[in-house]
Amino acid sequence: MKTLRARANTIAILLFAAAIFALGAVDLVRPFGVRFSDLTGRIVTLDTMIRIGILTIVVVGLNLLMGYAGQISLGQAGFYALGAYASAILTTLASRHGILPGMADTWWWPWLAIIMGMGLTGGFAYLVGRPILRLKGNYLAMATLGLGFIINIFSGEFPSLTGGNDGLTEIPRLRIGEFLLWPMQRYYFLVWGAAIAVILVALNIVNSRTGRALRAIHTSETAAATSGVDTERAKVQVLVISAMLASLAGSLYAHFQSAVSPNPFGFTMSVELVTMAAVGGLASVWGAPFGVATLYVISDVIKVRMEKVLPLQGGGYELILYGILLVLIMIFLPAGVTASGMQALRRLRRRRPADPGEQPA
Amino acid sequence: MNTDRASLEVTDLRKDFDGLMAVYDVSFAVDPGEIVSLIGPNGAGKTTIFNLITGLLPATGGSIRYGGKGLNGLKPHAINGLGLARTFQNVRLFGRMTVRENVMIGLHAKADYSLFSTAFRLPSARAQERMIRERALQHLERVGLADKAEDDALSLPFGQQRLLEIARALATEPNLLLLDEAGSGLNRPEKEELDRLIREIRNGGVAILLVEHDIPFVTALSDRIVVLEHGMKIADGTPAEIRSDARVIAAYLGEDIRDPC
Amino acid sequence: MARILRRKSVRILAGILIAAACGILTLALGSLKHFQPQNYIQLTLDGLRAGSIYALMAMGFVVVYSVTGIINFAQGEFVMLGAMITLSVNGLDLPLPPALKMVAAILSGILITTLIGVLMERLTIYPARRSSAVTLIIITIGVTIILRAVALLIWGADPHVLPAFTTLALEDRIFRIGEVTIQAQSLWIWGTLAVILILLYQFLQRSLIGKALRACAVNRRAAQLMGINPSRMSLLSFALAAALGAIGGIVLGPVTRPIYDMGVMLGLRGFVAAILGGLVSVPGVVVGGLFLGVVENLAAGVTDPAFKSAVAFFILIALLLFRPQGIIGGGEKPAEEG
Repeated sequence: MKTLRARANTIAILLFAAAIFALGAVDLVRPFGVRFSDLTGRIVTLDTMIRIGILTIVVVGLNLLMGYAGQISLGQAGFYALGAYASAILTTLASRHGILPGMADTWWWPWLAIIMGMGLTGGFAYLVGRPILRLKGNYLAMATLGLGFIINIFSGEFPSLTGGNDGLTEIPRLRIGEFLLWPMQRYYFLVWGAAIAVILVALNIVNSRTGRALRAIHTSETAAATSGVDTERAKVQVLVISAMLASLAGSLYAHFQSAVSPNPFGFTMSVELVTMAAVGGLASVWGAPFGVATLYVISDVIKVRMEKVLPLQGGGYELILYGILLVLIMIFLPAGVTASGMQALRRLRRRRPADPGEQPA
Repeated sequence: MNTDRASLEVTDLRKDFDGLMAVYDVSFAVDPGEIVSLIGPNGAGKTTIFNLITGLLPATGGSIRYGGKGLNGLKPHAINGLGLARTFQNVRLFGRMTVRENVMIGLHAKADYSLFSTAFRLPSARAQERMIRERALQHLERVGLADKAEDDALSLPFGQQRLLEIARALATEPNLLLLDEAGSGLNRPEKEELDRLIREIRNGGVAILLVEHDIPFVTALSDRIVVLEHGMKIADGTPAEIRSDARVIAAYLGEDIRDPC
Repeated sequence: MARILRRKSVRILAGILIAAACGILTLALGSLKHFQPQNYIQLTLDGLRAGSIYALMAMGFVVVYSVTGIINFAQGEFVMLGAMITLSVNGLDLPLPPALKMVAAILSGILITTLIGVLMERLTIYPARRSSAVTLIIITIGVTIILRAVALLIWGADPHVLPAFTTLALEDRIFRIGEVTIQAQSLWIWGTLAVILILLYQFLQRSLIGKALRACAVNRRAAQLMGINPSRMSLLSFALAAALGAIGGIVLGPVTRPIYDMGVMLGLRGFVAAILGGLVSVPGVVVGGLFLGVVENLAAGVTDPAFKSAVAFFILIALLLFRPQGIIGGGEKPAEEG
């Protein structure tokens, strides 16, 4: 017996997947010579879509951590970086250091590296998670902030291992056997396939006793604990999951850019991630892709429009608008775009006689 | 470990809040099937003792044993696993969930499907979920809230919120139920219903430890009453004994505990 | 293991041991670089200078946090704005002798930054006053983004110059005691810190408004019942924090060449200083700030300047894990649910 909610989610996933794959097919097939970016008026490109997909994976994890379990992480970019660097270092072992020449340049090694990266990042999150998750609110925010910074600083400090501030380049592309998952048109499917799978898993977790336990912990940790929930374990679990997801995304990023450096993984990125999670709607797994997309589209649109209206001066204008929009959304739509959008839809639906037992996805 | 016949033994319990002695050498016991009430003027330390027993606060001294097993230093969920469940003075329900889901939290520890099977919705996970959903409804029927199962937990009137908390506690299948002022804020019919429910729970084999302010309610219901004042126990006996205890009367100065209202 | 750590005596002992170990490590590393006592003294003095700025910033954090419960991420930007506005006004062609022009510039810097703080509170914090901690944190981050972007637009990405107060020129007067050098600006910084402390103390302890502010910090609801308007107090706290930040930035300006993104790292260190002092006690955060400055400088001096930022974060994490209420204590432990 599937509940109404589960059924709605299944339909949503199928529709979403269909839409994504259809969009991706456009660039492969080029019906009538049309390319993906033409569909969106040159504002959203395939490149952007891939980035949205990668960040969706991170933000889903962040939604679980922040929205459901109610913990704050201002250092998620650190886990993202760990994944990216793990993949980068492991896949360039053969070419840079001559280690494991027979193994490290096979087609399956990068995939193994991704899994190893997830394991390492997850393990790291487990170690630091136990003590850190005893903190609450602002203190937890600060601890994760510091963690992210430390990872960032250290990634620039060991040139022989991490390439120092210049980072590592020439990271190989992913392939399956002889089939190369490149150029972008092909990589798109890998990224979004992973993203959709992650959303599916997250929805399963949310609608299970673990998801319930997380929500309970968010509302009242003491009531949850005295009702039999091992709250420490649950919080660490969700942190580890979010870290592993961020690591997976980081690895996908590394193979996308074919290069990593400490730069993109700093505090700014952690802030962007939290923003995307909040804008999309913290307590909603679907909030993740929409939050990421919203912010990307906003900043891309602003960039394009601004260039036409005002002469560019160091890229300051779009940042200002970004900040203003962020503040406005947080003030007026604190539940996030997705939840507010669904509320609006529900209100529209109420004009007609309502079905009893309707549950939001 | 069989806790069906287990007793709660509190011995010389102490709690010191940086110089403020909230609980001082308190000793009492709750035997299987008993209904014991903790009463005392405000600030006597009653809720603190609850927090100490259920593991939310560490004790500064003394021991708490249940069925012979020491509870000091155990985590709250572990204590719950040994058979102690509680409700809260200020009703801590889970806001963004339905009535039924609140009770399902109580059943959290009764299922054991792993995160992995959750992630991929394996059959074992789904079967256990079904079990949890059905058992939750049964507990709701016990307190008379089955018809509100799919409502928002916080949309219930106050008296029913208290009942919901009790249902959630019962779902953890305790052998000792700690009720923190479950009666406060209820009107007379609701209190009579609560009295009936508590007796029924006791008859089902669960011992009950109550913290209460309503003296007549407590006197009618309890097998024994423990009286606290300023963190110390000043009396321990049957309702009849307590009623005529001079120290108790002095502590409740001005309050006539024989007044049925 | 965790249970053992909870005993007070053990923790004090552990703290002393760790401090001693760090001290020995510092001396060991220093000897590798052939440090003489004057090197250590120099590093300490420079550290005290940086620490004073952290202390000023931390005071801003404390004022806002204790009254509103909000951690204001934009505190670092107030410092930046204070410095930038001052140097801009000072760079204008005004018919004033250089000293007076500097004074005018300083006053403008403080006033305008305070105004910005007020605007921030009214436009972004007040409408969201009932929101969750996460929302408020994101809002202050949003304001930080805006302020920094505006600064980038107005002042560009290059570092600017604020003349030293003593000489009103680029070169500052330098005092020498033996082998140790002290810039005149350092004296300005320490003097400012002392004056601010005294003024703030008088304000908070003696004046009616100051007492109202403290009342709000202790118990907001009780203060409300006494007739104190919490929203006005919130506004006041932000204004005060902005002013404190601006002053910090202004006295720091001649030493470090203000640049549009100087607020980020400063803000974070100010926050660490605030936590060291327990987030609610002004004298505590001052000690915290000075301590952070010295430790940071010594650590970077004996190892590598690149580690300067890392030190602050290590201390932050260690603090949060072992003693979130600060070394001075008297600060509240992160709230357990009631």
